[in-house]
Amino acid sequence: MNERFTYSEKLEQIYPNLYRVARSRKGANDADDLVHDTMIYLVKNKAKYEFHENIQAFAIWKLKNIIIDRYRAESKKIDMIADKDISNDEGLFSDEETEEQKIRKLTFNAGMKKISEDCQEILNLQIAGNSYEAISSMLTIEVGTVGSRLVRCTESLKEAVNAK
Amino acid sequence: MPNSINKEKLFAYICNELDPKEANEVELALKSDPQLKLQYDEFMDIRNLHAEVMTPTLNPVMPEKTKNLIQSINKSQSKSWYQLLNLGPIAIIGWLGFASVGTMQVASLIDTSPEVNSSMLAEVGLENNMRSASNKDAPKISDDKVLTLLDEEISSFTVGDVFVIKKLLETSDNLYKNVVMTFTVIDMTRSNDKTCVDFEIKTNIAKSETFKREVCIKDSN
Repeated sequence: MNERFTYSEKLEQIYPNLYRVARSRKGANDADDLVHDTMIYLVKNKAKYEFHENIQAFAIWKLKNIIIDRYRAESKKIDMIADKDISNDEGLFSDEETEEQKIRKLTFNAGMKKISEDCQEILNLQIAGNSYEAISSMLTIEVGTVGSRLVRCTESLKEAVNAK
Repeated sequence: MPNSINKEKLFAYICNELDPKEANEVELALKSDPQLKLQYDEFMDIRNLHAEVMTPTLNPVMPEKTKNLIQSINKSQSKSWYQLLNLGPIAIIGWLGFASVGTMQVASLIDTSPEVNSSMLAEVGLENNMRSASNKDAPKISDDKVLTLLDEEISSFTVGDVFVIKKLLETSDNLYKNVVMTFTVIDMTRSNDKTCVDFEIKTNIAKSETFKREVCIKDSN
């Protein structure tokens, strides 16, 4: 029999992927708070969701709705955050890195911000080690779609990073 | 791109998503097809850069406030049972008690005098040796007390245990009905600090189907 988990263990397990989705959509500044708000909802409604068949997919869906609700009336703020996030590269560098390495990372980060949030999301979920099947389950899309979307997004990312 | 290796397949190879036969096919093609090899190198370059830049930031440490929030669930885990015992649009107005057969002796934990209730047995077709804690003179037990007892007892469950919970419900017609829920432990696992139990649950409500539920609860120290 597969290992089984309590509700709190399930929430702990889905935290990293929730964070990756939040970070892909709203940057490092707000990711922690957005995930925390999602967790508050899931904890408050434990009785309703404890036996949910795919709590991770539901949590990601809820997170996206929280993002929409929070920023709907603050479109200016979204722009400000997006601009700020491009320049906010905190945590990207270690002290030992050369200027050349830093420029390379900055260029990549700027390119990453140019591609769609959906692309950032799926690329970040995959590079973090999730299988196609796991991504398919959490984003509720077909496995085949995961593969084709990853190719399309990787090509977009390559273009964005190489663009001047 | 010549041959049968398209971009999706090449990318799936890079992501270790292919079975050994397909992976071998891609490896052979990479050796003989310079254009495919070029595409492979381009994918790898961008992925390596992505991994280098993003991986440290994509493995987050959960903030204390979120950790505490999630841990708070374990302190109120009794609520799991409310979900199990949810009978839909009828209001639960009181617990009449509960009883067990087999090795479970939950009834003995509460201050009631178990007695055989033949009409109830006939109604739900329970085994003859069921002992019922339902007693007209017995004090009603609060939900919290019953659920806390269940939480405490979960670690002593074994497969095959049966226990029965009776509740007095108010139906939509303002009628009162004794509802009997029979829980059979059909599977369970124990690990370090938790117990997971699969129940098969039957009720005596007309047209209600037998259903299964799993509860995992942190063992109390």
